[in-house]
Amino acid sequence: MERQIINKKKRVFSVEPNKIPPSEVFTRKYTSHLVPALKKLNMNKNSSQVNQLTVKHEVDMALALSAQEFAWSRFLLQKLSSSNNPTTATSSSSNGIRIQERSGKEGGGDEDGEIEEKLRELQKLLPGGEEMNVEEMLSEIGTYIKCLELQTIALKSMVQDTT
Amino acid sequence: MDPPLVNDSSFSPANPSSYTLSEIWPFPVNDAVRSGLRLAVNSTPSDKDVSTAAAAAAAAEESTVTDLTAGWGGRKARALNSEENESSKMVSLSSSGNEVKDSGERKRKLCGSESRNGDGSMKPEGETSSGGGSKATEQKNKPEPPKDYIHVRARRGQATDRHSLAERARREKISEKMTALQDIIPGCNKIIGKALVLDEIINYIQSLQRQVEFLSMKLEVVNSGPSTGPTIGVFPTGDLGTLPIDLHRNIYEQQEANEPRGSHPEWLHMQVDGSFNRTT
Repeated sequence: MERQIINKKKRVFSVEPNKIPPSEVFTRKYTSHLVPALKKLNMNKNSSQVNQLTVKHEVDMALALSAQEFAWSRFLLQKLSSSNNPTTATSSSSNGIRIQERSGKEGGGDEDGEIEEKLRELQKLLPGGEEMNVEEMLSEIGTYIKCLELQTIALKSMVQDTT
Repeated sequence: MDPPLVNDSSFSPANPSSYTLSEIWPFPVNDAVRSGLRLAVNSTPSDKDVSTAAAAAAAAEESTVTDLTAGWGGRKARALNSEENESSKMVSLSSSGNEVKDSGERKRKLCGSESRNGDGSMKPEGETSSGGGSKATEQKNKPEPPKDYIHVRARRGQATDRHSLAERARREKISEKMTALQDIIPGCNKIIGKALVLDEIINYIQSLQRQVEFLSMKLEVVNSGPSTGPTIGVFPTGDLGTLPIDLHRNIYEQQEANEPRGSHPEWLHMQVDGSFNRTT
């Protein structure tokens, strides 16, 4: 039943690709990736120690798969498929620390230097941002933010539905 | 109008296979100031602008203006397009810089063309002709011969060497993208200054990422079955009560058949975006 629903939704996409707003498309793709993945996780899970990281992994994977027209999603996919979950979890938490250190150092720096620092910070946030040049990164950041926003909306509603 | 120039007709009107930035971001497509964004994604150009960074071809005739950099460029593009016939001069496309001609702009010096082959001989002319510059700009009707180097007009008091021009063009592109980002991030409109805006963007992205993390943790707890959390104690049989939690989940999953799960995604989609269609 669920599979039929998902298949039907996929058919809808291909019929009218131009008329569906991309945010909707993204959200649909995202949920259609994530929900079955979570189900599968639940079915397979007999040991609980990697619960949290695996879910995060699936969440990121769904994000990357639903936004494949953007450069950062390629990098995200690479990261997900090559590295293990602990890497992604730790990198996101260490970013916060790094920013505070940076801002402590920057007290007397000149303006351009500060801006450069911040751009580099931004590059670290974006998956694959460090491999892009600044202009490219700035354009990708916009789409990344949009997709993150849509992702949070989708996740919120998923959580709400099940509570 | 001018064949060597890449203009509207040479683009396919839509990119059905990819989603353009301009669709995701609700920017007015005709706004010349935003054309930098469209450049990045190579989406459909408006009738005023040519959006390509690759064609470093002929000088633009009076009909088309390329606005690679926003700011003052945007204004001039519109002003120019409204006075198409008097074409004060126009610009050729280039990958790193561009000019927009406005006859009303007196500060602009006519620096002629700084060719790629390093010919800087036009420079002294430009610098000395501040008074005659405005006149020259207004009068300059002759079409520039199509060459494949950059025609750049320097602002008054600014250097005209290739490096600084290229750098200036790059900086302008960057600042244009930052203004585009400012529109996306809530609350960034009022902030002036690159550094602060960048701060905001960084904070916003971090908070979004943290939210996603938090929600995924919640999801992990909640989604592992309807019987987790506060309802764990409510198992029907005594046997289940002694098993570890994950096994409880598995058992419940199996017992439930697929029915409640099957309706789950539909629910989801209805909630996530009201305009979804139920395609059952």
